[in-house]
Amino acid sequence: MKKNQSENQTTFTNDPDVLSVEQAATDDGATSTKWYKKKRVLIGIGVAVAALLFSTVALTNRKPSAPLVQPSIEPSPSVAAFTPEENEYERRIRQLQAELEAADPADEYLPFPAVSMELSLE
Amino acid sequence: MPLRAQEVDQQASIAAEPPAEQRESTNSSIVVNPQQQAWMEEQAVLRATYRGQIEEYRKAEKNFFLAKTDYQQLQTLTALESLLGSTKTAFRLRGDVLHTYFDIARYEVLLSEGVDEAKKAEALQQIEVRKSELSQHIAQVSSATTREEVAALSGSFASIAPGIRSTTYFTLGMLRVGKLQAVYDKSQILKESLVSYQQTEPVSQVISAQRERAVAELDTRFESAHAVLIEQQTANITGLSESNYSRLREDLGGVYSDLSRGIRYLTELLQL
Repeated sequence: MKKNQSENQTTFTNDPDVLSVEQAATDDGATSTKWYKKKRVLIGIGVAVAALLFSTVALTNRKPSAPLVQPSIEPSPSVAAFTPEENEYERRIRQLQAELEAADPADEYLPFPAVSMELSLE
Repeated sequence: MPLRAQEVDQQASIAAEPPAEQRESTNSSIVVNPQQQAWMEEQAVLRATYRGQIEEYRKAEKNFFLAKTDYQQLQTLTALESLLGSTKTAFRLRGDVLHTYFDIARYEVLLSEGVDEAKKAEALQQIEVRKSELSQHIAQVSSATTREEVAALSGSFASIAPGIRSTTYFTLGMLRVGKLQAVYDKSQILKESLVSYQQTEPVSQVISAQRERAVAELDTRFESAHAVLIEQQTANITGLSESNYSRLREDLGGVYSDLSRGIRYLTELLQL
């Protein structure tokens, strides 16, 4: 049995042609066919397990994708509840804010002309 | 001294900047009467002229310094002639730039809101005086032919330069105060109107108390802004140095903050 195992290990690493020569020397044809079938099943199971593992890992690490339809932006309850008068007040406040921004004392406003006041011939 | 890059950028902003009322009208439905419309159009033409003049001046100033260096090194009659010519050109263009600047400032005063009428009149009168002095200076430049006459122009300009600065900063200070005063006045009107409107609404005692507190906070902000504005409007000044103008801008920064917060409170009051 041990001998068979060591021979089988050798056949795994060798060329199929060489295997058939060695096999002809040691085993009969039935043993060889059985071994081939076993090998194919093992490889098939291995590939299936690998594919299953890969797909499991891929699905677990997947980032949540954005929904296809964005939720619509709902107006805040206070804005939604505004009357026409309140909307007008809101507009006037916005206008006032714009006017205030235009009056910011930090902004440059009609800066003194960039001319030299000390030009001299001498 | 040649112009600094920052100063050149600032000049571009004068030419590009539309008058205050024109800027405001883009965001609102401010009604502009035909007279104001005409002033705005004339000011737009002046801004374009100013842009061209400042460009010409920059070249002339550069040529002046080159000619001056040449003459100091070569000491030839040709170099002297070149220096006299470039000096006259630079003097004339400087006068033109300042003259156009005062024209633009004049329209800005005419179009301004929130400015004390007496100060407005004072600024307009001063601007006319400066323009007249500059016209005289430009005429003297044109008629100067000898080296002594051209050299004397520096002295005559030096005598009008402090007035030019003083009028400029006085006018700018007045306009800046006026802009914030106009916003304050409109804020007060809006607040009164909103408070009156909200008083007609049936609300709970809790909301009513919240509104009262909001109005009290608003009043605190607006009163703080108003105190500084009143101080500036009633200050008996007819001229301003550059450093005093800088201080004024700092003081107005506080007014701006108070008004800004007050307007934010108005938004919150509206939502109560």
